Amino acid sequence: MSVNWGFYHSFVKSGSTTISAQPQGGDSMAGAGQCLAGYFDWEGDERKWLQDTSESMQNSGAYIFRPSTPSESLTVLFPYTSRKRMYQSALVTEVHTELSTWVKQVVRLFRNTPYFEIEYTVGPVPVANSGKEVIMRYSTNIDNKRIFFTDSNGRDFLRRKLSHRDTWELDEYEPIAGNFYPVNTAIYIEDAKRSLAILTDRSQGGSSLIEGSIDLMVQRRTKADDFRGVDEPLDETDKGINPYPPYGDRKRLGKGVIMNGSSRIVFGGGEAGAKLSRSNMDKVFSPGKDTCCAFC
Amino acid sequence: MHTSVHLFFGTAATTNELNFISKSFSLMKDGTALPENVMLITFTRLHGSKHTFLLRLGHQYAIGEDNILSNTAQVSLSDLFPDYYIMRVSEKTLSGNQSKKIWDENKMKWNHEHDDSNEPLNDDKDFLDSFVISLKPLQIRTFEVQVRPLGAK
Repeated sequence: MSVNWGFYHSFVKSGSTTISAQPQGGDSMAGAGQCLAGYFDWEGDERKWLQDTSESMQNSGAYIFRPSTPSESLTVLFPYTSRKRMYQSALVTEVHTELSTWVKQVVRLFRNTPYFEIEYTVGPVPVANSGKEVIMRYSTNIDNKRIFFTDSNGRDFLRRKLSHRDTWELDEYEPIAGNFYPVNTAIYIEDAKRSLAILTDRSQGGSSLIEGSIDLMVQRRTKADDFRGVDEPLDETDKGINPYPPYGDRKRLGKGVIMNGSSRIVFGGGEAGAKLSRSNMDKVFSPGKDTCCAFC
Repeated sequence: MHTSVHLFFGTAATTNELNFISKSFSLMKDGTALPENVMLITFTRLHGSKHTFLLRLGHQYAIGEDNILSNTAQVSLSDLFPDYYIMRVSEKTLSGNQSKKIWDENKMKWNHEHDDSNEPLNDDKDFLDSFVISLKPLQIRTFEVQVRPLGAK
C-alpha cells in the first residue's frame, strides 16, 4: 500500500469578482450582489449549469466542494527524501515524512497491534494561486470494482458505487465531487482476498475514485464564496477576522490554520472490511472507561 | 483517541508498600469476559446511590457483517458484578430516564398490515432467573442495576 498526498484546485468562476481573502470594503458587497444573481440563474437550468463548465457559476466554498474541472487530476505532493526520519523502540516504529512545506506525516507501527496509525499536520495551506482541497490517497491493488463502504454515524455501513445511485439513473457531471461521501468513523474497500479499512478520528469526506484506492479529504481552503449564505470564502486563519462593515473591513487575520489529525489503517482477508472496521472503531471513539471510580 | 488515559505519578521509596484501595481489579467475574461483539458503553453509579448502576451494553456488528460476530449475543449481567448480588435489574430507554416497559406500553399503536404484536424485540426468557440478556445486531440496551455487596445484609 502507498499513501499519497495531493490536492485539487478549488473551482472559481472565471472572470467573477471573487471575494478575496482581503476584501477592500465596498468591493466585497458588490461581489456578493453578483453572486446572488448567479444563484438565481443556475436554479433555472441546473443541467446547463452543471454541463457547461465555462459558464458555470458554482464556486467551491464552505458548503460546496468542486474541483477546478470536473475530472481534474490530483496534484500530488512529493516527499522531501532528505527530511525522512525513522525512530524505533521496542514497542513503536515511527517514520516521519515532510511533503511540500506544509504537510507533515508520521506513520506509526505498534508491536502486537492490528492497526498502524498515520498522524498528519497540514497547514497553512498556501492559496496564493488558487484554493486547495487537500486529500490523502491510500492506494492498494484491491479489486474493489468501484465499490466502497462508508459508515452512517458509526451505525450502518452504506454501500457506495462510483457514479451510481441505487434508485435512479444518474448522469454524473461531477465525477470527483459527486463521489465524495461523509465518513464519520470508518471507510473500507474489499475484494475476495483482501480488505482495507481506515478509521478516522473525525468526520471527513471520503471516496474511492481510483480502483483500489481510498481517498480522504483532510483540509480545504478556498478563495471564493460558494453563494450558499455565509458570503465569505472557507478560509480559516489562526487569529480570526475583523468585524464586518460598517464596523470593520472583515479582513482575515493571521495565517491559515494548521490542523492535526490521525487515522488508523487495518488490513485483513477477503470481504472482511466490516469486521476490520467494527472491531476497531469503538476503540477510536471510546478507548477506555474510568470504571474504578464506580467501585472505589 | 478522544479520552486518552490519565497517568498519575507519585514518589515514594521503593520499599514502601503503597496504600492503594486495590491494586488491580476486573469488572468481570474471574474467567469470564464479554462476548467479542459486545461493548460496554456505560458503567456508572446513578444519582449518588452507592449501589445503583447505569449500564449500557451494545452489539458492535450489523446483520451480515460477519458469519459469527453478527449473531445475537448473550450476556449474563451477574458476570459483571463479581463482588455483588444483583438485587434488581430494570431496563430503561436509551437515555436512561424512563422505564422501557412503560415506554413500550405508551408507545403509539399504528394500524398497519404487518402484525408485530407477537414479536417482542427482546427475547429474554431467562432474564429474571439469571439476568442473561440478549443483544441483537447493533442493538444498545440500557439497564439500571441495583446490587448488594457480597457478605452484607
